[in-house]
Formats: sequence, structure tokens, C-alpha cells
Amino acid sequence: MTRATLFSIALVALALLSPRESAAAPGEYRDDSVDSPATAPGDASYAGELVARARAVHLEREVEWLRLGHWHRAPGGEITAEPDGPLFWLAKDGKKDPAAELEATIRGLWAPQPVDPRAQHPFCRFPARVMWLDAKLHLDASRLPQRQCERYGHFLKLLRPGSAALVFSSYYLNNPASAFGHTFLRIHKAGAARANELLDTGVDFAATVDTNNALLYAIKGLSGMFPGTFHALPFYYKVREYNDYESRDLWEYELDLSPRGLAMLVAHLWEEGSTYFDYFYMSENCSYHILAAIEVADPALHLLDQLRNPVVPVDTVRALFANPGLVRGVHYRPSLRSTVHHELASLTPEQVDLVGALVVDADARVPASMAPGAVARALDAASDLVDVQEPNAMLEGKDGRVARLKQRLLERRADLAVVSETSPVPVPLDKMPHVGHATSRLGLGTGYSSQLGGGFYELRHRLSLHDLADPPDGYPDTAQIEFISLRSRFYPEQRSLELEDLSVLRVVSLSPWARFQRPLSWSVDAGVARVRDDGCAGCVAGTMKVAGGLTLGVGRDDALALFALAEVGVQYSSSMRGLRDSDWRPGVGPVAGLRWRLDHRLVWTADARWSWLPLATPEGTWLAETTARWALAPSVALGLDLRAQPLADEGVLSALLYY
Amino acid sequence: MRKTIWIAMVGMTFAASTALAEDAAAPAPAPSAQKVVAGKKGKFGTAGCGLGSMIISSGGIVQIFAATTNGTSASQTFGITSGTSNCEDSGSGGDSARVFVEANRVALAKDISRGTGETIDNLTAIAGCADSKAVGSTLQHNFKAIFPAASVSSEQVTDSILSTLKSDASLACSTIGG
Repeated sequence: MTRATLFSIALVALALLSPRESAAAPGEYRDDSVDSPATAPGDASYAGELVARARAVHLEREVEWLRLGHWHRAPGGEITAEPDGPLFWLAKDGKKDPAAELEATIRGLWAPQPVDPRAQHPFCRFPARVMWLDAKLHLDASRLPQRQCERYGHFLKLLRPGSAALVFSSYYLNNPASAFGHTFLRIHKAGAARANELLDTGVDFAATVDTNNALLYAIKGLSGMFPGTFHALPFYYKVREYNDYESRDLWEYELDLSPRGLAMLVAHLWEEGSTYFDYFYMSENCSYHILAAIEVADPALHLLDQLRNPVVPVDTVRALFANPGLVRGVHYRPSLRSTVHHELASLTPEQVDLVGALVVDADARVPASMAPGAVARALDAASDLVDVQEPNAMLEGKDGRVARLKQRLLERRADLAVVSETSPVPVPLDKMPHVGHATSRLGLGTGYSSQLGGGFYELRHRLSLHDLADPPDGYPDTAQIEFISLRSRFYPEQRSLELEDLSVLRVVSLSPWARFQRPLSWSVDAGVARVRDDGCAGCVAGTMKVAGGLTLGVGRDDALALFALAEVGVQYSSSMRGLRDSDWRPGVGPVAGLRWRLDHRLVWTADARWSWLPLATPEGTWLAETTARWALAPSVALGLDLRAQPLADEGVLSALLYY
Repeated sequence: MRKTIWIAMVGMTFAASTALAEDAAAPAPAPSAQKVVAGKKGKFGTAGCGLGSMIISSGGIVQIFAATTNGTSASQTFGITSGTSNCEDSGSGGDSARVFVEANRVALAKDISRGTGETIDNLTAIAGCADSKAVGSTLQHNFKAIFPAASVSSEQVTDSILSTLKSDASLACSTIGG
């Protein structure tokens, strides 16, 4: 029985965390261009010559070649490559043999034209390999088969690459799969103005999901059973999706690549486009493969070296900075929410009142004394606010209530016939993702427990990413997401080492209410934790909790956030006096707390919760916690944690290292 | 008891891991997208090119066409899946304008009502016009002709924008024909 029930808890957790998706739709590919066959056969004896020269200098050992094939040496010493699609390999065992693949690539230049007109000749499929071979072996074009690559040429014409940027899309807790952020590439068109970057191309790497079963989704995602592929789309789709629909700030890190480096990157993206990679959420994920593609641009770059498992998107941004000079500039593209926030902050109270009236009734009366320019600013803020409040209307199209409201607002706005003054959203420099603390955290502390009347040492470790009391720079102020966080204690008098808690996932999303926005605040916590009350005196209980409620923000940028949530949860332990004397203890009750950012270095959090435990002994429990944390340096903080629960009051003073 | 905790842990790890990194492009249109799809059989295939025709998922927008369960085999044959497969964007001219207008419709309508904005700058580049300020002000004056009602199709919006731009010789829009 316990197994089945635990399983169902896991299923509930999965359902909560699974992405939106549904069944597959059949498709077709519409591209009429076909690469032409070779116009000159080339000199077949040249192939053998090139292979011999490549062997003589051990070209297959060069770092550029290994990066082009994404070969890595496993801890056991065996070489294997990440691309999993068969079309990426010209040699039969190319995935495991860089030398064989190199020879096959050279000989592949003389391969016959593929029978299937849709298939690409190796020469067109591997433009980066060919560029690299040319740089190393100085290919004599007159002895190679002459060939045009219409499709690749078309791709280059579309991209017209002039520069490249790594784009970080901020943490988006309302979709759990985006909670850790996301990265993709923007290829800027040569000669185009920055103002026209919407017409650039965005390139991302994403898993192609083929199930809507939450459990299958999780299992397949963890074990690499979804194929991940590269996609290129006009950058405006990315902007509309992330900036507008999901209201996520975009941070663009401009890369200082040489013209050859940029050409290699783009050519290699084309190569990667013809294959797939088994997608692993924790390691070979979106950010990993984007970073690996950048590394192809220049053998002097060291990017993947900087990563650890799990690969967190912001760590791939930091990896850029480990290569001095690689990041040429950082560009901020505010989300619609940030834009509205800025617009409302710059309006007069009278204008803000007007905005409030307009988002309900587009024909709301305008105060006669208000100048057209002032009315225009209110209308502009109102139309943006409607989009933030009703993002789904952007997808649903043209018939709904929101679409009609917007139509009327915009008609009124256009009638004013004044051009809006552009006022850029100030760049929140302290929130640049790369300036945040490192994502793993190690802590050593010393504490006292009233239950024992004695002291203990505490060791804690968190794999990633951020909690409400961590140094706030680079992270959203009122969001916490922690993955695999462990606390253990050593009691010197008893000479015993004990697990205090192990949280698999802990997410807190506090969204302060504003005059026009009433978002839900929520939290999720799953793991095991030691409980100290009369129903479970020091037992370690499996715990799953969810909570929902509201947050009030006070002060500049909501420096003080006060929250109240209703929480439901269930605990399990074989020594628990739970529901009807079972091992299970469901609970429900209120949680109230605060998070106060006193300074960029000093944060204080506190919360208290009480739970009604139906039919358990006793029928209620409570817990109060408070944490103060002071960042001494970018990677070092001091923390004081106090905690009270029915059977114990405890305090721990600890030093925390972010690494 | 240890065993059960392990089972719970493994289950929860699965749950947690789905949140670890952004990923997962879902393979099918959202219900809203299907609605858009049903009503459209334009030059750009049955799906259209609007934001609603794209699948918005955690990992990004993926075209309905590219995102089939066997979509990987298509991309294997063709190199990177790109705008070329459905919504051709050659960077300038009328066809590009059409895709651009459809995908950016919500933002573009706001910018036209304001007479300025990023989508107008980019549309100016697509249409090869001389000055985005002049384009913005012309489009703003014609807002009601371009967006007569919320329900007007994006094709019509594009046609109205292009004809507005063409009819004003002083805008000197060079890539959208006479």
C-alpha cells in the first residue's frame, strides 16, 4: 500500500511540474530547392593524398576536429560523441572514432550525388568540416569536385551573419521547466542596424517531446530518450514569446568572434541541424549544446570546461566571461512586465487612475484638463497592461473580449495623432544574470539545540540555485528555486552524524500584488525532513507540500515582501503517529512570512506555519523559522538561522560558500 | 521504510528534474493554435505564421510543421529547421512583410497606434522605406484603415499596410513593389 501511495504522490508532483503539451500533428516540409550534382568530377587520387597528409600530422587529434564532432573522452578512457543522428556520421563508427570520421569526411567530398533529391551531399552537409579541412590542408579547389550547395546558400542568405550573441531568457517560475532560465543564440544580420535586430535569426536547441504522459516525460527526459534538435527562427518570434507572452527579460551577451569564427559557428549550426542529440535535462540540455556550438568558433575558447553537472543556463553565461574579451557587450531587452512597471512609475496619479479605468472600459472618460500627450501615455500604458494581464489573448487571436478592448484602446490612441515619446526602461544592472552568486552552495555551521541542551555542527550543501535569503544580485528578488539541497548535523557528544533534511525541489514564487496585478504566490517543497513534534519526535519524514496565496510588496522594488499562503501537505514516516494511527500525516494550514532585502548584501527572511493534522496525534503542529544572511564577498556569506518547533528551539550560525 | 523513502526520492527526483533546465518543445499545436490553423490556407501553408500558429512551450516556439514526432528525420535530411520550412522570411519585400505582420501583430498594432516603436523600425527595413519616423506617422494616421476591427485577418492587415506604404511616394519604400 505504501509503495502505491508514494507512487501516486510522485505522480501528483509530476502532474504539477509537467509542461503543456499534447499529441502530435503530422507535417510536411516545404522547400523546393535541391542541391545540384557536381559540375566537375574532381581528381579522385587527390582524396588519398589528403588522407595521407591528414594522418601524417594527426589532424584527428586536433581540438577543433574533436569539437566539430563533439567527441569526448569518457572517464573510462573511451571516446564517444554526443550527436546521435546517423546522418551526422560518414564513417560507420564515426561516433566513436574521430580518425575514421576524418578520413570518411575527406573521401566524402568525392561521394556520388545522393539518389534522394532531398538528401544533402556530404560537402553541403558539413560546411564547417570543409572550412576546417581547407584551413589545415589548403585544399586545391581545382582538384575537388565542383559543387553548389543551394540549400546551405539559402540558409546563409537568410541569416546574413554579421555577429552573434548568446541570449539569456530570465527565470520564469510559472512554467517549472523554465524556472532555471534558458539560453539561445541570436545571429545578427551583417550591416543591419541594432534597431532592426527583430529581423535577426534566433537559433535554439530543444527537445522534441512525443508524449503527454507526465511520468514518461520525466523518465524520458532524464534518460535522454527525447531527441533534441536545433531550430532557427526569426528573432522576433523569440521576442514575442519570451518578452511579451511570458514577460521574461532577455539579456543579450554580444560575442566578439572573428569573421572566421562566426562563419565556423554558423556553418556548424547547419551541420548540427542535420542531426539530433539525445536530450538530457541535467547535462546535455539546451544551454549545453548552444555553448558547445560557440566553442566550435575558436579553438582558443574554453567553455564546456567551465561547466559542471547539472548544467544550469546561467553557468553557461558565466563560462563566456571565463574567456577574457569574448563578451563585447551586454544588451537588455525588457519584458512587457518590466516595461509596464516603468510606464506606470513615470505617470502622474491622475494618469494612473485613467489607466485603471481604461483597462476595464476602453471608452472611459478622459479628464478634460489632461493634455493629449498625457492621455497618450496613459493609453500606451493601458494597452501594455492589458497584454500583461491577458497574455493568452496574444495567441487566441482576434475575436475575444480582450481583442476588442485592445482594438478600441488603440483606435483612441491613434486618434490623438501624437507620436509617443520613447523612454527606455532603465537597465537593472544589479540583475544582470552573470553577476549573481555561483549556483552551488556549501555551508559549515555551528548550532545549539534546546532539545539536547547541547551543540552540534551543521554541514549543508545545495546543488543549485537560489533561495530568498541568498545575495539578491542577478536573481529575481522574490523567487526561490532550489534543487537537491541537503543539511546534515554532527552531534559531538553523541558522536553521531544525522540527516536533517534533504530537499529535492523547493520552489517559492512570491509575486507581489500591485494596483493592477493580482498574481498568485505559491510554493512547492518535496523531500525528506526531520520533524520535532509530539507526533514525530525527531523522525525523518518524507514530505510533499504545496501552498498558494498572496504577497504584498513594500518599498522600492518590493524590498519588503509580506506573504500569506495556505498550505496543504503530507508527511510519511514509519514512526509517525499519523492519520488514524497510520504512517501518513496529511496537514493543512496557514503560512505567513516576510522577506526583507535591507541591502544588496543583507537579507532577512522569516516565516511561521501552523498545520491542522486531521485524526493524527496530536492534531496540530507548527514551525517558525527566521534567517538573516550577510554577503561578505561575491561568493561568501554569513548566515544565522533560528528555528522553533514544538519539541526544540535551535539556532545555527554558518558560513556559506557559493561555488 | 528505507525502501519506501528511496522510491519516493526517485519519484520526486523525476518530478524535480523536469524543472531543471528549460527544454521540451511540445509537438502539437495548442488548442488556440488549432483554431488559427483551421481558418487559414494561405500562401504560407495551412498553419499560418502567427504567434498562435507556433507552439509555445518551455523550450521555445516550434513550427507545427517541423515539430512532428518524426520531425527529426525531416531535419536530418534538410539541415537546420528554419523559417524556410513554413514562414519564408527572405529579409525584405512583401512576403517577409506578411510573415512579420502576422507574427508581430499585437506589438505592431500598439506601435502603429503610437506612431513609433521597434516593430515600425523593422517593418521600415523590410519594406526598404527611407525613414521610420515618416512610416510611423503615416501608419498612425491610417490606423483605422489598417485595423478596421479586431477581427480583421492578418493578411488584410498586411495588404493595407503595404498599400498605405506604397501609396505614399514620399516614404520611398523600395522593396515592396510599385
